[in-house]
Amino acid sequence: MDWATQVVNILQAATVLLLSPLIAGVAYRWKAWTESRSGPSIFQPYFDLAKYLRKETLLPQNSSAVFLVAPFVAFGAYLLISVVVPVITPYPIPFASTVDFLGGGLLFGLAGTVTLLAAIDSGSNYAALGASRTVSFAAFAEPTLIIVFFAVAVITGTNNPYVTNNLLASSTSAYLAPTHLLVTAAFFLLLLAETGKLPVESVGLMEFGMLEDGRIFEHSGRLLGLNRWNGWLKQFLLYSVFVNVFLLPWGMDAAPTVGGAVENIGLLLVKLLLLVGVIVLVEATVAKVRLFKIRDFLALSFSLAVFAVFAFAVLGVP
Amino acid sequence: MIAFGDPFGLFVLLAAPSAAAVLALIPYPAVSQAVARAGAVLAFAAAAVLLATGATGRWGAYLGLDPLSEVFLLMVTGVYATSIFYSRGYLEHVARPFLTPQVYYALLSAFAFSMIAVLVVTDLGLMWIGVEATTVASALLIVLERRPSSVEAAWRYTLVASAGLTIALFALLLLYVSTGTLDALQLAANPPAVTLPVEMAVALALVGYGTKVGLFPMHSWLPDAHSEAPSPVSAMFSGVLLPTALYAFLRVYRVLPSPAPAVITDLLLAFGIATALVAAFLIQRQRSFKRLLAYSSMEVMGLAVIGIAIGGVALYGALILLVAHAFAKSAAFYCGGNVLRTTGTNRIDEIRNLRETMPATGLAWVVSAAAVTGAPPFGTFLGELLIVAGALAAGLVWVAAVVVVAILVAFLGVNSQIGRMVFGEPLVPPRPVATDSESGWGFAYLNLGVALAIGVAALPYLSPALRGAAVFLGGSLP
Amino acid sequence: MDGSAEVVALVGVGILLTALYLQSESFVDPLIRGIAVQSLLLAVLLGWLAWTTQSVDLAILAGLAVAVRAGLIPYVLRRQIRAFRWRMRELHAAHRVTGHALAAVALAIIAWFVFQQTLASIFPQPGAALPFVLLVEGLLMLATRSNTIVQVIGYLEEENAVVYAGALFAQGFPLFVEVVVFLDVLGVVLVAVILSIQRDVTGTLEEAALEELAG
Repeated sequence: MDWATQVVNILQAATVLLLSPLIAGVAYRWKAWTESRSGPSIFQPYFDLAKYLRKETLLPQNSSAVFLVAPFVAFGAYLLISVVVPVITPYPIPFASTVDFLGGGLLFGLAGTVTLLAAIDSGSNYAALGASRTVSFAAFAEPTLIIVFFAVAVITGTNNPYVTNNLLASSTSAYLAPTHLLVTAAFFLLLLAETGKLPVESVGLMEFGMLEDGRIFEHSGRLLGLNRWNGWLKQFLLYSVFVNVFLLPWGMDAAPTVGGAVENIGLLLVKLLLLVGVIVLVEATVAKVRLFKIRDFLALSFSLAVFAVFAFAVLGVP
Repeated sequence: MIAFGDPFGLFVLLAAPSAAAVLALIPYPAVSQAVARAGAVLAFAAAAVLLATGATGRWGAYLGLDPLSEVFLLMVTGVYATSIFYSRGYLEHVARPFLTPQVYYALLSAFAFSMIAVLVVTDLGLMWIGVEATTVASALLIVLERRPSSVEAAWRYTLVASAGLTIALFALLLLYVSTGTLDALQLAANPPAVTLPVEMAVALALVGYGTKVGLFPMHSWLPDAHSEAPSPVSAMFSGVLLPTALYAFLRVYRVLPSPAPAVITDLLLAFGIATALVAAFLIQRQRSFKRLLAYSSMEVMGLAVIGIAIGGVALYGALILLVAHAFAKSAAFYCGGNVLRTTGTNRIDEIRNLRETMPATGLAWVVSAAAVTGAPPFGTFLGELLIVAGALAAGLVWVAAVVVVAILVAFLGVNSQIGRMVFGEPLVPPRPVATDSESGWGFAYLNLGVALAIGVAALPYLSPALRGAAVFLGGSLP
Repeated sequence: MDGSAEVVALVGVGILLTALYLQSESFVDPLIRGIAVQSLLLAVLLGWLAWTTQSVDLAILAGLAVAVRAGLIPYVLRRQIRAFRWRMRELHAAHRVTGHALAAVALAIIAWFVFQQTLASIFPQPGAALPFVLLVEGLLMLATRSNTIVQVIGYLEEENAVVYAGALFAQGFPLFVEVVVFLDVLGVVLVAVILSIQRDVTGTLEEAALEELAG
């Protein structure tokens, strides 16, 4: 292992850790624009993070170690994911062989589960409500995620996201194949649901319909800061996978040099900003669905994913 | 002099009802009715002559006759002619008809024309068009009496039948892809190798045309359409439309060599037994006599399908059953129509003592009810007997047992209900009489006579054609 | 995979997607527009096949699909419900969106398995199962929906399936154009006549009446 790939490895982890609040900040600001507000600075998440880290941490009386440990476990899981999925390189970096697509999905699942356990452990009704809602919708979202991975696997014959990226970037017919288009659509819907966007969830203070934020109701101070950061990490990672593997696989510098990786960071930012723009547009145009209709939304995503695999089976080509 | 030979007979057969369908639109009711009657009589005469001369062969690319189609032609034109004649009395009583008599006659002629077309074309695709055309022509006839329930029945009929027919079309596509031709006679002469797609095509055709025949799970339109349609149209539905759809299936079925693969005959048996049993038991709980008769037709179709599945003597029996049933059932519906317009109701519970109030119709009704359920000496009895005998000869004792049970249950159900209406004690207080014109029962007696004749006397004359048809369909007769 | 196969695949999956959408939609007006889109997609496919095979029949079929199933029938249907276009929906279907969507997908997979087990040997083309699946979806729609207009849409979907099948692998089927014309005639009969009779008989064409006309 030469030093260049090691540096790239560290660079990728750092990119994910440091840029994820920025993407969230841009999203907040642009969303504010659609509501005719000027919005907070795009660096507001960083300020928030600094503030949380300085604040006092309170623990609920009945909570156990789970409550305390969960944010760190989740943070670790996201950190691990950040070095195994294609973020700034189209070639596998050293850690990438640890897990494949499915393994990445399981790591997301781990992070989600510990957060959930912490919510239940807090003993608060609101947090438990958020947890139970999340789980009841995850029952539809998780199978979709698995099917999306299956669909990716049937396209390329492997579950390796890097292979998928290379195939899609190089072959127009693979990119335009019905399977890929359908799976991209399914993953986009899933993305909206997983990152708490409209029409699934409207984030704000004391929203009745909130799912993700409901779970971290009882955390405060550093733990809350970590939880928020976890949320941004999750969003950043999912966005990166979506743009690099599904939507815009092109243009990454394949040379395994530090310079190429830095170039790719810039490219990634452009792609992410495009995606954020699209999502803000979606959020500005759709209304929130009723809580019990979220199931329909996820069922649609699930149907699309199954259809993607189905289309592959029927057509016999990717 | 033009010989009344093959092509000319065929020409009359097609031209008479189609010309009648057009000319009946002349805005003079009397002319319209006369034209329709003339067309029907001409068509019947042509069919009878064709049957008598035993003319077979094909003319042009798409037309052809063989014994099977001649037998069915006689039956279709016979019921068509009597229905047209019977219609006059029935139409007079409809209070606020949806169709003018002219349009009614035109549609009825078009309906008959489409059925005749099914029987004389040799191309399976054209045959499918003919079956589809029967739906188009008859859908409106159901709504004649302008009840909301008849709209619903027409809707269900059109929708279910056309859904079934798309499946049949799919079957034809499969058949065409596997064999390269859709000419029924050619396919029958050189049966293609039995491959899975061919078997599947026959199975799909059974489901598709079976919808229109009224086989069990696809029968949902049948009782509604039969009970809502005006009686002459019900008679055509029951007596000849169902057999015509079965004929279209038989043409596809004949693609298979004989004996047919076990999987297909098993499927036919399953559909036939399910239909016959379900219909026989549903007969018991009907409250409307028209639905009663409709379910009885369904039961007969089930028996016929069983006969086709068994083959041989049973197939011969099934053909006799279909022909005799067509005449007997139309007689039953004519009587039912008379009762309906006299009493103004089709509820079995509200009708009693027809023996005294409507002696001619009542007697005909009792006899025709016995005839449709296979009482000796009618042709239906002979047909059912042969089906049972065929089942026994083929070693299918349990099938024979099931058939006997279905026949007996249906027999008891139909005859006890109609018997109650005719011979039952008068209702107290008596139901007011809606109209007291009891006309048209003559045609019931006429058709009953035909059904009787098939059982006792006419068989020798029909026999060559029936035998030919049965042999064509792969039966080996003793 | 040459260009033609790709067009057939893309459009075919698009048609099937519209079928999935139709299953899960409960508002009537989007359903009507959905079937129009499906017919248009089919017309694109037919047009493409007509262009590549220089077949006049297929071109006529494409024209029919546009004129009748994408144009005339949706237009008439939308006129029928114009007074309550924005609120008309099939109520009991509205509560079963998830169920209908999942049933549609499950049925598609079952239909495909059946196709693989039985007919795949004579239809080796990629995507040959799609018309078969579409036919089954149309039947499902007829079976599960009770609204009159939605049932017409189910019928049109079935017709699309048959035309699709005929164009894809039964080229040379005698009289296919005539057959399709007849199917269209029946569709028009269904729509125009039954609906007008209904208005004539029940005196109204309110939603309730359409909801009740069970088939």
